[in-house]
Amino acid sequence: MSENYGIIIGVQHYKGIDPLEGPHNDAADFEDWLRSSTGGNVPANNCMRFTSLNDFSKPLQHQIDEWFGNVYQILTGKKGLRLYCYFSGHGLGVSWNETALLLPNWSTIMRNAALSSKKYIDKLIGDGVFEQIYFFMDCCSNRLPGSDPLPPSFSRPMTSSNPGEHLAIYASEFDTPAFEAMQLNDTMDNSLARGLFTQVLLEGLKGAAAGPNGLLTVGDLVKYVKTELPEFAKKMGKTQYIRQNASLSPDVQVIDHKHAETYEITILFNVAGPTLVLENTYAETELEINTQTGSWSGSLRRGNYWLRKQDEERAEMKIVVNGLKNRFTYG
Amino acid sequence: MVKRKRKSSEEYSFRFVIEDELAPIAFVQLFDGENDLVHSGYGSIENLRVPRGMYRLRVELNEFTEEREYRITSDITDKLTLVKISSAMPLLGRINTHEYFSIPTEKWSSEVTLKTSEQLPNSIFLFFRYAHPTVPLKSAGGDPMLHQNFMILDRDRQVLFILDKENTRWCKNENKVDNVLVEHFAWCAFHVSVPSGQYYLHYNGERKREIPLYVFPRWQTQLFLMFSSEPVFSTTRIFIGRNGFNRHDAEAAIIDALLQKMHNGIYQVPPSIKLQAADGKWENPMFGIVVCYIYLLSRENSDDGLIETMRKNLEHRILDAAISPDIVALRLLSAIHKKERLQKEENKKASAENRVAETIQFELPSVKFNEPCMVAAGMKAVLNYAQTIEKDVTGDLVDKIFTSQRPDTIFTSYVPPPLPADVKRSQSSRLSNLLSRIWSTNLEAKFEKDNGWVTAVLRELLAHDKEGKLDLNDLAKSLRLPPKKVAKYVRMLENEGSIYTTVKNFFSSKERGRVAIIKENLARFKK
Repeated sequence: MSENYGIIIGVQHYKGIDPLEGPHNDAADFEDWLRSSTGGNVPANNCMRFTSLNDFSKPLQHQIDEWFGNVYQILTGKKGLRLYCYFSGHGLGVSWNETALLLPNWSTIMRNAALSSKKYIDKLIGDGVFEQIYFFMDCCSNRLPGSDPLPPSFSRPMTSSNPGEHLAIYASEFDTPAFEAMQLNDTMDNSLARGLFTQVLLEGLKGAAAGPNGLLTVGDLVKYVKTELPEFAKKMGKTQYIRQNASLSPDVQVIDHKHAETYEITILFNVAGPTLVLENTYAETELEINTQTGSWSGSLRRGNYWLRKQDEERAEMKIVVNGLKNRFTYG
Repeated sequence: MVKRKRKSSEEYSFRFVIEDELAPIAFVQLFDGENDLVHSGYGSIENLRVPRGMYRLRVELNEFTEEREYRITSDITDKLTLVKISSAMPLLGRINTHEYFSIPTEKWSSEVTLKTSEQLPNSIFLFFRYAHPTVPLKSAGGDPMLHQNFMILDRDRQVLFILDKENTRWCKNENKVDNVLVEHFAWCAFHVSVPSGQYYLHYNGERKREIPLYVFPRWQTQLFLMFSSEPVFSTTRIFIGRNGFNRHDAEAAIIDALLQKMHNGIYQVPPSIKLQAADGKWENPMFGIVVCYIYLLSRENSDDGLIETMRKNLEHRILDAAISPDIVALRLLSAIHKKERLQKEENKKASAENRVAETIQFELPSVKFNEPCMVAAGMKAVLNYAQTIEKDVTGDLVDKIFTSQRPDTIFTSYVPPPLPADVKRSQSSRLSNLLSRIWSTNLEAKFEKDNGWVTAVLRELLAHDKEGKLDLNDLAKSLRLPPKKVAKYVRMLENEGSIYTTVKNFFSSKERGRVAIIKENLARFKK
């Protein structure tokens, strides 16, 4: 059976530009998802995480390409199923479909010390070593003249007659920066700076983006990140939109795991009194709920729901059932 | 397998009206309850029929986004009355516009702050402003320092005016509401009449900058800039006015918002704006310049004829269009756009006829750029042109700034090369001393050295070109510089060649190999 592979690169130390605070944590979180059986399901041996050192000696292109070379070697005569590539660090937009993923030794002088997203994607597609290639890039795409990022140094002798298909999602549109923000988690003791894109992407990959049948497809993932990232960025006082390109069909599954189709949901009522109506996306009544009981618990299918007072037309509260949150408070 | 969505059989009308002069460029999207896009377009939504259900509307205009949710179980009409965006131009309706900025802008754009011997119908107007909720602007002896380090240069980059507290008008104050401090503010205005032509706003502060300005006959070129502790060049707005600035100018508001879209890489001209442009219902040349740039930078071809008419109108309305770099850049972009369309058509035809597409032969206009354009996109067009044509099409200054352009504003802005006056002064005062003479000519060299990335990248490219395949044009494309400029850097490397020979014993064997390849390639270029 074909296996999945994954490479994760998190660069927060840079010789020639300001350091970042989030990439190592983001890379670790992505690896957790990648290796989880309900996530990328990538065996430990097929997974490599590169993080930067403060002497800027790692990860450099030859170290990264060596990993690809080894994988090519292992996959001689056979094909890998999925390849997940994740990058978190500084980036520069070269053109609308090419971003320079900056390596630690990058500086305005060493402005080619970067991986070309396009050249790597094109190579991986053309070599046909993997059926599906995923590139997730949490970095800026703003411009600097004269940067010509590096192409991969690994290659198969001939272009495959059976090339791979791909999905590439960039954290920001061309010529706009991606942002990092302070994460406000439940305990409030964690002030990790995190890439907004990675947070939304991981939520989606962990199941929030899955369709009503619990399957996570390329179309579902793109739609989720495209919708949620601007909203999340806005809460942080930022504007951020993704850019994506894909040859993979929207109904191709990003992972094998099937997420739950229904979830046990609890709604707490701070305001007791009115009878509420829970409606689906077609504004059709799913349930009528008596708030006098203080709470309601029950099973709901994946999807978006809205609560309104029985005698009012206006929806008051949106309930998103996607596995991220199972307790809601009304009022 | 394509997913089929269930749909309610009940349908209702949805109407969303944007009551703001920026409505034509506000991007509106309507999503259904499953976040699938139902409608997208510019401006108000008129009578859209949608199935019963839950919907989410998103309005986007530059930094402004607003989302609204709807439960559509009957016909709905809703409206948005104000698009909250900010601008360095103190236009009515912008969230950072206050009377204490807009009134002096109107006043001092109509009256000169510096009287010259000849009063001309063309002028330069600068308006700088500062606002902060708690921190007052730094000042010296009570004078706000907004004018400090700014000067206006002429076409040859000789200093024409140095802004000071005598030739500017300024104010520094506090805005209090009910005795509560709202913000500290300050502004500085400079207005002088000048002959039409090319000028530069030069900033000689800690982070040096220069911005080209073009003054059209009988028009006023206006530049607006916001300050924090130093000038925030990303807020630069250049505008063209007839009788001074008018805070009610609806055309100015549209231009301002379109410029921001362009800065965000959104090259789309909303249909209603295109129609306005085609009907000639615009007065301001900046409107024509911006709409043409945006359209010609897009991959659109559907309105080529319409934009061409607009571009020609622009040339007719401006008396010296032939020498304004932006107008010339638009002529060039228009030709490139046409060439690309013809090639696209040929590709399509060839593909239908199952043959290899021919390369379209299309001669680009013969133009030369001695001065930079005001709009940065124009400079990009100039560079592409310089890389595709063998003739020398760029002047010395244009060549120099390609390596020092700053991408933070939609307008051309760069770390300036030393002023000609500084170079001369330095040479004459130290001419007797040989070492000093080297130092003085090095003012220019220092500027080039600050662009040391070019030689570093060039060295890398040559070191990797083991088969000697790269020519000057290939290098120019990689470096995004005109070939002429690359040739200059190749010569600089040739000079380094003698240094390599002298110190070669210090190199490791691997480095010696690299140096040998670089030298071989350099010798090839010399031939």
